[in-house]
Order: sequence, then C-alpha cells, then structure tokens
Amino acid sequence: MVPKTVFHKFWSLSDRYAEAEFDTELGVPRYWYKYGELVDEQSVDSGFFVAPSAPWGGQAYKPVYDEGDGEFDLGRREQQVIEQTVEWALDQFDQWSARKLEAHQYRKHAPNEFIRSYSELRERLQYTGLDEQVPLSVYEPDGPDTNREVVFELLDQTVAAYPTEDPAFEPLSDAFFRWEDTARLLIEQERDFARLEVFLDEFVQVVSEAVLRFQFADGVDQERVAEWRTDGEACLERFESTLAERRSELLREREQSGVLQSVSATYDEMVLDDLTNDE
Amino acid sequence: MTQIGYLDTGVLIGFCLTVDSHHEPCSEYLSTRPDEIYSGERVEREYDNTAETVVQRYTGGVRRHRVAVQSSSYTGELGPSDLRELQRSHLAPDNPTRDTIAELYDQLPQVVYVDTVVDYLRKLERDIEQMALNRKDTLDDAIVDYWCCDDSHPEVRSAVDLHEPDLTICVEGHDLAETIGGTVELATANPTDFVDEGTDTTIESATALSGVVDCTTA
Repeated sequence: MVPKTVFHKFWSLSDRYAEAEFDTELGVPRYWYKYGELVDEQSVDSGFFVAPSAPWGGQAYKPVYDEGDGEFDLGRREQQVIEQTVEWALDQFDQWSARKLEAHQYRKHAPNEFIRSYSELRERLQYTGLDEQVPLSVYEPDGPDTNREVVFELLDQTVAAYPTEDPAFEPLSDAFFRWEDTARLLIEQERDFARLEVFLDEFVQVVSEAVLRFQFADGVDQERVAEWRTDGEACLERFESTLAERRSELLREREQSGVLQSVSATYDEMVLDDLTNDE
Repeated sequence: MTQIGYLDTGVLIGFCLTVDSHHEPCSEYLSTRPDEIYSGERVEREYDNTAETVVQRYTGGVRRHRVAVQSSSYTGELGPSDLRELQRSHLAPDNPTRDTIAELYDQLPQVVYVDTVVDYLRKLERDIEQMALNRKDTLDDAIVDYWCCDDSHPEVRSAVDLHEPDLTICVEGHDLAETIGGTVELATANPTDFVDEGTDTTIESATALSGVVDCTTA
C-alpha cells in the first residue's frame, strides 16, 4: 500500500526507465505538474489497482491480484521489460518518500534548466528554515546578509535560465519577470522568507497550470490536454491580478529611489509625446 | 462662496504620471486655488485606463532591457565602451523607454558593475510604477468624490461642441455644479480640448460651471 503521490512518481520514473533502457514505450500517460512528473489516471485503464481513502487523509494505492496477466494482452518482450523495470525501480526507490522522489525528478528529469532553477530555490526555502537562521554577519555594521544573498543568487539563476526563446514559455514571461522582481522586493523590504515560500509556491502553481501540464504531457488524452490549456489561460489571468495587488502593496511601502527623478525631463517628454500621439 | 475645482483627466494624468513637468503646476493649482476638489466617474475610468497602459508600456520597456542585460554575456566591471556596446546590442530600437534608458546610461559612473546597471534599471522600473500609485493615493485622499451623474443633460450636449469622452466629462461637471451649488470651475491640463477656440466661453455660458482654468498655466 503506497500513497498516491509516491505511486504516481514511481510509475512515471519506471516508464522513463523502460524507454531509456529498453527503448520500449509502455504508453504511460505522463505530465509535469507542481509536484514533479505525474501520471494521468483518467487516461489509463485503472482496473489493476484500487485506491481507497487512507488513514493519512489521502488515497492508498493497492494492486488487484486477481486481474489475470492475460487481461493486459502483453507481448513476451513487454512483459520482460516490465519485470526488469519493476525490479530496477524497487531497487532504486524502495522506501523513498514522495518528497525525495520529487527532488529526484526535478534534478534528473526537469524539462529545462529554468524549472530546475526554481525548484532549487523552492527546496532551499522549504527545508533550510532561512527565517530562523540569522547569519552572524547581519550583526556586523554593513555586514552581508548571507541568507538574502543566497536567495538573490538563486533568483538571478532563474532569470538567466528562463527559456525566452521557447514559444511555450512566451505567455508566462512577463508575469515571471514581474514576479521575480516582486519576490526580491519582498525580501529587501520585509526579509520574510516564509512569505516568499508561499509566493514562490503560487508561482510554481501557475507555471504548472499555464505551461507544464499541457506542454510537457506525453500520451495523455488529447481532449484532456485541450481542457488543461483553456484552464491554464484563466489560471494565468488570476495570477496576474493577484501579483499586481501584491506588488502594489509592497511598492506603496517603498521609498522612491531617485533614479526616475534623475531622468525626469526625458521621461516626462516621452510620456507627454506618447499621450499626444495616442489621442 | 465655496470654490470648487472639478478635475479633468489631463489633471489626473499630469499630476500622477509626469515626474515634474505637468505634476508641479497641477500640484500648485490643487494646493492653492480650490476649497474643495471633485472629479468625475468618467474621468477616473479614463485615467485608470491611461495609467495602466502608460505604466505597463514603460515598466515593460525597462524590464525588457533589464532582462536582456541580465541574460547577456557581460559580467563584472564595464567601462565606457562596454556600456556603449551594451546599449547598442541590447537596447532594442523599438523599446518605448529607449531615450530614458539612454539618459540613465549617460549618468552612470565611467566604470560600473553589470549588477549595478541591473540595480539602476530595477529602481527605475519600480519608481515609475510606485510614483503613479502614490500620487493617485494622494489625489484620492484630496478628492471629495468622483461625481456620478445619471442625467444625460441633452441641453448641455447640444450646446457644447466637444467629442467623447470630453463631452461626458463636461456634462458630469455641469451636473455636479447644478447639484451642489458653489462656484465650480473645470480644471484642465488639456487647453486644446477645453480652452482653445472659445470652448471655455461656450462651456461657461452653456453649463452651470463657472469657467475653465488651465492648470498648466494658472
């Protein structure tokens, strides 16, 4: 009996192994989401397992043993591949938690460097408790705040890794770059790493729904992918309006830097020219 | 008698969206002339649309260049020729904030780190957005009400030669003056629309407004 999240990751990792190691496509419908790569249960015949409610609040996945092998109509080679793959998977991941499997998926199989980058920041925020750790250096006059620096460096990495050339990520790009600057503003003004963790989680949710789930889906029912695509657009719109609110809140508390003031003549000329031409 | 200033969209734009040029005279008008300040619902809607477009256009332009610098191969210290080359290769000709960014580069020290350039660009982007927010908040605190009028006032519409949205703005001002009394003047930063070619005189005679004042020269 295993939890749903573990079962899904186990399944997807096994399918990837079979493909890479034996050049055999088992046809498992996989897609990327917030928690790593999952399997779309609705696109498969799920007669070989049951998933009743579990004591921990989720679902417990158990095999159905009386389902004869013949029901699956497998060739001899596929059967061998599956057996060897299951052996490999048990050997590799037996007793791994969902969290550990997720980290493994992000490190080894994330579709691009950008996804790997933000997951690194996410892991750092989730497991290192930056809030509680106050580096000694902050007590020195003008000493560096190393926790802040770590976060800024990881944010820089995500910016550098953003796939600007990939059309799949184009609709998200403006929201991402605004999100990144807002995340930085949050740390600069409030040094609130717990709030940043929530804020990053909201962003990961929108990447998952507005891009990953349908762009990196393999073998998932097409109608379902089309549905995800439509839902993704709405999700991005909702995120953009929440982001605008958060950003405004932070900006309202900020002191003007003086940079705009230093270029005011050129800026004002541009605004007035543009408004006159737009009329 | 209470002196009331009824602000048109141009005053809101000038006050909130320009750093100095129209902000200062509009600010001067607001702090010295009227006892009470009103504006209109239509004015606010027009302003909100314009502010959103303007702020998005310029912050988007600065952000686009900032990301291009961050993703470029430039690292460490940059000298004058590097900065020129960085602008040439990474500041797109169609960037709406091109001149402002070029002006910012002119003010940078002779030798500067790439990270500092990025930092300046972030500050510029945030300043643009923040200025509009803070100043609109200031105006909202000063404005008694954004007047809403249900009456279409056909007599005013036929007497005044204005196009939309200026016509509705004028009608809302007339309705305000008629309803609350006092001396209500239309304060504008668009003399071309509301003052020139005798429009101000027509408004004065055809509406309950006491007159039109050009904030940029008042």
